[in-house]
Amino acid sequence: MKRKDLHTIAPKLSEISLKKTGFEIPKNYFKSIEDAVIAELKAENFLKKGTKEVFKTSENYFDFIEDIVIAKLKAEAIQNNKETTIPENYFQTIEDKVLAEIRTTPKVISLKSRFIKFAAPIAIAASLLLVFVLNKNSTTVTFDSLASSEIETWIDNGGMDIDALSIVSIYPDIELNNEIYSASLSDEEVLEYLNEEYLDEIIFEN
Amino acid sequence: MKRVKDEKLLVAQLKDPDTQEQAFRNLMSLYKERLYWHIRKIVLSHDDADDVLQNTFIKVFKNIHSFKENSKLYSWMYRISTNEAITFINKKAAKQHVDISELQHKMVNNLQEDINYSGDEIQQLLQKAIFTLPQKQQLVFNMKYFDEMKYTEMSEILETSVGALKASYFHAVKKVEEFLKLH
Repeated sequence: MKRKDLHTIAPKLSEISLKKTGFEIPKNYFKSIEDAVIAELKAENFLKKGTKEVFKTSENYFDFIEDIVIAKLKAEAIQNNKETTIPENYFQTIEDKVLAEIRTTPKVISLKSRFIKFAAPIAIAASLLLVFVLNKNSTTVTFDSLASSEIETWIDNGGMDIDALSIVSIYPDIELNNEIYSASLSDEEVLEYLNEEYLDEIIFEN
Repeated sequence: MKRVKDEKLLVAQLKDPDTQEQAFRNLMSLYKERLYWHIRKIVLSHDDADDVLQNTFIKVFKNIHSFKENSKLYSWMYRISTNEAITFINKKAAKQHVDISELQHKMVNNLQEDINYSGDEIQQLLQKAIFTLPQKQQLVFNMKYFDEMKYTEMSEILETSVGALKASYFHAVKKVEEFLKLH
């Protein structure tokens, strides 16, 4: 449809002036549109903000930056390798190594706990010896001269029921820890001690 | 031929970071008014048209690398501005929880209070008549009646055959005339 045909098809429409739409724009609007769009693009970093850089770099910085980065990455890779690498077959041999180590390491018993364990029975044994010596004034009594049955009978009759306070009262220069004060020794523990093969040595040394 | 050459050069400059700012300024200067009026007839208010025009240019700049050059730069930009304008009013309608025709009815009624509108009664009536058309017919009517664009150009922009556009314009004119007669 040509414009000249419009008045025949749409006479009312053809009466309306084409040049006048009624739409206006603010003065100088079209002069500022480019700046507004450019500013928006620069704000979003889609356009270079300017050729003059305010920040400086050292001379030839950009010639060496790749080498510096690569060297750093390599150094980091070596460091990481050191931290994470384990000897070959480490996990296959670890059990054997640990067990071997356990077998060769001497058993360490602390002096304090060993002393506490044996101090009370030694004191008891020494007390018994003293009692026998005093009771049989003229007769020399040794452990050898006592029959095992006599010692056992004495123990069965409650002769071993000596608590920590009794021990301390006999041997005031021996320091005992709280464990000894709070727990008396059972008969079994004392008998076990008396059966120790080196008991004689301890007695004779004393 | 010269126009094609100029356009190719302009596109090349737009893709080159060293020349793109100046080239983009030239591009905007060249097309800003035509695109503005095209957008304004869709969104009606100047402020909305300004927003859409700026968004259009920003989109053009951001997508210049994907411009295939098998269509004219101007047609490509016109297509972007059309899509931007339609998307804009669709979003505006959605925000106000109304459909497009209801929004356009409100837009026409608000024209009288718009300081950037000086149309008389018949011009406002014409605008109301245009808004009774389906959206595609509105575009065709505006591009042919007001902008006097060639059907071949419209075909490239709207990606519709020339025959379909002619038919569409004919129907649009008839409907508008009918509306004007009734009011």
